[in-house]
Amino acid sequence: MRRSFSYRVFSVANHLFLVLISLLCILPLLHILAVSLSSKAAATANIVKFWPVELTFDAYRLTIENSFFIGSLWNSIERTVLGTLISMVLCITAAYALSKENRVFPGRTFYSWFFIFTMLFSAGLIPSYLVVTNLGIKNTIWALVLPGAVSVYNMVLMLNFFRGIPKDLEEAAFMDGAGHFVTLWKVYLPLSMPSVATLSLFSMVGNWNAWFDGLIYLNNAQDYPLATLLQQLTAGIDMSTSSAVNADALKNIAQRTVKAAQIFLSMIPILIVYPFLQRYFVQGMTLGSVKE
Amino acid sequence: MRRKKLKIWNSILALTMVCSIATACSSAGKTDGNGSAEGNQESHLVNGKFEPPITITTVSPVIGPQYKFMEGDSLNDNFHIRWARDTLGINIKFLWNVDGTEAYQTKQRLMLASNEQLPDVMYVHNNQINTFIESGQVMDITEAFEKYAPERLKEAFNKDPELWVRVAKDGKKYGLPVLSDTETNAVMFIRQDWLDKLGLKAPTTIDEMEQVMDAFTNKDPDGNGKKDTIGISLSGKDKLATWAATADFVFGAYNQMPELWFKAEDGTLKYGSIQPEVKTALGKLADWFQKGYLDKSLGTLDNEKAAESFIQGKSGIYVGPAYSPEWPLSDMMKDKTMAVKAYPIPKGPDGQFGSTAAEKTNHALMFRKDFKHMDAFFAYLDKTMKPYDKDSEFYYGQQEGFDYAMENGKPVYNSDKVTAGADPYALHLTAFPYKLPGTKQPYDELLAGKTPETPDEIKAASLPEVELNAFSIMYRDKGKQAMFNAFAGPATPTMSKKDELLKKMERETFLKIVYGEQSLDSFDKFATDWAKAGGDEITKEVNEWYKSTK
Amino acid sequence: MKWRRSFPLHLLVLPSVLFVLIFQYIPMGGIVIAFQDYKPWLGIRHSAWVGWENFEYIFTYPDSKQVIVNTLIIAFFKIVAGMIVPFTFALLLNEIRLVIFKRSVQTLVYLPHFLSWVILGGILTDILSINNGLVNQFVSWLGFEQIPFLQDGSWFRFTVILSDIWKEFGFSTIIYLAALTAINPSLYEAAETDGAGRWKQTIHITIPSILPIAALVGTLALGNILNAGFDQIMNLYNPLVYNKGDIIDTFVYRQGILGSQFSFSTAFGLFKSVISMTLIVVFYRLAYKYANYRLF
Repeated sequence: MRRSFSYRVFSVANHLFLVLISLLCILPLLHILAVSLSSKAAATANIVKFWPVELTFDAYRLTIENSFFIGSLWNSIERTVLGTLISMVLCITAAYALSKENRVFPGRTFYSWFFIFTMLFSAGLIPSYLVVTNLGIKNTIWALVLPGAVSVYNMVLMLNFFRGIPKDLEEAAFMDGAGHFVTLWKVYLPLSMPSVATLSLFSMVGNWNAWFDGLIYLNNAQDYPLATLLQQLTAGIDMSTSSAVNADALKNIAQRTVKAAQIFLSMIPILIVYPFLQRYFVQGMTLGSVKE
Repeated sequence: MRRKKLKIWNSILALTMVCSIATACSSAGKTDGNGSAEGNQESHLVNGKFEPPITITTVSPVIGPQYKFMEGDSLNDNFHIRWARDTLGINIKFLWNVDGTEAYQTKQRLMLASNEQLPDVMYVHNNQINTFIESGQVMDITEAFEKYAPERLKEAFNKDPELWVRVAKDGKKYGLPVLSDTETNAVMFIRQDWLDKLGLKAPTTIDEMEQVMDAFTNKDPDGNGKKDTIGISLSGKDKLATWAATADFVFGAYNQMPELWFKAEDGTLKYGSIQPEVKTALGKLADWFQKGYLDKSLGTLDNEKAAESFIQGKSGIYVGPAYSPEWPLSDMMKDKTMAVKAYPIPKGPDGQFGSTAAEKTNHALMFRKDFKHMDAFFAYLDKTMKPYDKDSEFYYGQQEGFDYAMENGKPVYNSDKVTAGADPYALHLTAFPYKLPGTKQPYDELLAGKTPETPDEIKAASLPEVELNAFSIMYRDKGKQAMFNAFAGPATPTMSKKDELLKKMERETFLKIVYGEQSLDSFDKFATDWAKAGGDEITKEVNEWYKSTK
Repeated sequence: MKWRRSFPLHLLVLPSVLFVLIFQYIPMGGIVIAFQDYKPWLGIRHSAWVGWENFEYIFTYPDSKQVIVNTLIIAFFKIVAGMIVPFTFALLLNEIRLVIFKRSVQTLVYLPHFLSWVILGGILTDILSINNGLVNQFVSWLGFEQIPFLQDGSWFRFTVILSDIWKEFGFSTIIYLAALTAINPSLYEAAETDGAGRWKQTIHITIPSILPIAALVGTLALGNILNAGFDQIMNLYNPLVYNKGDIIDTFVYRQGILGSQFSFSTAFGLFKSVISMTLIVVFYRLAYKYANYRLF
């Protein structure tokens, strides 16, 4: 391949620039990591920079020792797997249909707007709560998984990715007598792994990080997903509204070190899964796609 | 597909209804006392115990997953619940529990909005009380209080009928206010080692304080050769007259407090923020800011962050509640290189001093409209209410091995045998310790060198000396120092429409004056703007409320 | 005939339609409380109807204009920068040949997305502090006057926009990276044989290929034209920057402190939705008219 001089200069600058940006993104995390490994006193005084002061693992021990920790980890995994699975099935099926042109799928535009509308209009917490309560799924994992199962954003992105798949492939499949379901499964899906991986990641991250729904739909701490548990562990007392401060409660105020440790604990699983998904969307261009 | 789903739902619904009717019928005849008897069975006091046992449901705003139970205990089966069941015949049952004001209030509101049955006894924050009264779902306890309340509780309320003000409506009492200790009155904490080094005395007046702050700022008290210290740590992110790293004492020194209603000489209520005394105080603060006594970024600092400069040894003074040595200053207390001492807040030119005091009642217990057993609740309160006398089973503490342990016949409160970091009162129906006012405080005698004997004394003796001092000062001065909000009613109509606007205007003006971005005289414009933008109407409404309480 | 052919397609969207009906459209009925004086214990059925009163209140409220303008400005820059930065970044990353380098960079820049504004708020307050903040130390070292990042309205807007971009651009890049993988490599090979360099390839192949996705992401982002980021502002603002940093959501939040103003916040929400919807419809139409492309 021919490489002009100016391109080579650009390439060096580009590498440098990306390293710099990466550093800028990682520094706050290093700081938080250092805080999580520092002593309580150093963290309260806010003198920790990027290196732990008086190294200790207390903050991690304190969090992991919580009797609900392991259970909530499991709840989170269950929720994320279930939520992502349902969400992706709904997303892929609907997106496939919506990626067809209007003459093939009359009503397509109507459906699109029908979905888009829900991205923008919502009546807030109370009506949704009433629906979940009336369905009788409160205090079950379904209350976390089902209400947000359809992500219109993901659906619309998927639709656009599907459109990029060459029409002749689809037509060839139809020629062989395949129906829509088979075409979706045998032709579209294998060709869309990067986008499926990307959208699954979005869905997973969303499920993993959601804490508010756990708080309002679940009454028992043993059902909490990790995000809700961690939110509750660091909630603490709101001093400004509650002046009923008693000495025993004061000692329970979540420490900065614990908060910092919890950020890392909650990030680990996402970081473990990430490289596996990343394979699909970050690769050398020459590796290209499976197409052709 | 959808119809089929609905069918399933319908059949499940029908099935559960049949089941519940069936069980209700079959259990109606039984008196096995599993709590199901409530409502269809009269329960009576037999030797101080309810037979058959009564179930009282509640919810908790303070028990989150972080709560450490004793080995083998759980939310609905713990030492306190067993105690209530065995000695009183009362089964306490938690329907749900969270930790944190916002989470709690959200769940409460959802309960109300979805017509779920409220718990029998419920902790309600002051700002929610009116919502619950209006909802008609909570009980008027006027009669029950007269009939069942313990005598000492009645006495306390008779002595100060104002205590009812938050829960009263049309002459009825819709809940039991919880009396708060006014522990939030500010105390001044100062770096004694800095004072000593610079040969200064602790300031007793604002003028003396200025000299001290000047020395702290300019004379390098930490001896590192750099001009990197400030006079006082203040927080301005929310408001200046706040609860920790607060500037409220400056306003108090001129006998006025922003955001508080006070009783004027003409007998009406007036709003503090627009009074000329506040302008004088703001002038002081602006002067201090300009002279470098204050943190140049104080506007961005919340209470906890503002305290950091004091903890780091970059600032010489911090004003906050007496419990500050436990939080947020706790780790500083262990640092031997810094010596902190507590002093009363400084006085103004007229010898006046003052700080914001918490309301006399900061929340209330409210009861479900159809709750049948106020007698049981008050019987329970009689036993669990503080202070405990020598005969009380709670004299030493709530549970041996949980919040206290016995050593040589004496209770100890910080030993390995005590579960660390758990508040036993969280398990109570009252969520917080229910305290009657007027408990004798042990601090003065302990400071005078008395050997701790009573449980209160032993407990207090384990605190850092600074905190003992702070508490002693606070209890001594709070009568003169505490400035209460004279308006304790629900938000008036104009208030709920305009309060946001007025507060925003006020906080913006005040902070900008301190920063020198606006002239001190812009205060006058603020005062007239405030009145025009709805303040006058609010004043009128507040005074109407005030008349109605008399 | 036509119906028979499209029937499986209807069947494919059906599950999603049902979900959306149950969990979105049924609760949406609750929007009517924007026209009520809603009391939770009375419910929708028994709360009093007040017509347009809540909206009148919003639009006659002295500060409404200020917060709407602030929201529009902050959100606008966030949307524009939020499109350009990840797009450009994806292109830059695309020029990296070393896969391990590429993947590392991509992972690192994606991490800030997982930090909450509560935490970042604390960190930003520290490093941007006018006294001894890291950034201002650097600014002083360069010989400039310290910058009031969080204490001056205009700087505050700048800080809010920049920090939001910093937090989210890595995560947003992913979608473009996925789009890049979908480009047919034979296009590049053809260009290569035609003697086109990397610049030309980028301009003529890469950019046009991911433009549809960019247009879509941009249009959907317009739905946030009145969302300037509640959590972020809430954790960073203070009375000094109210005039330029106070946004609709923080305003509604403060308004709700004194009482649960359900109707008020729903009315403001409805206003936001209508504006966003209008914008999306306009852009959808424009894309269809001028590029003959249906965005969704």
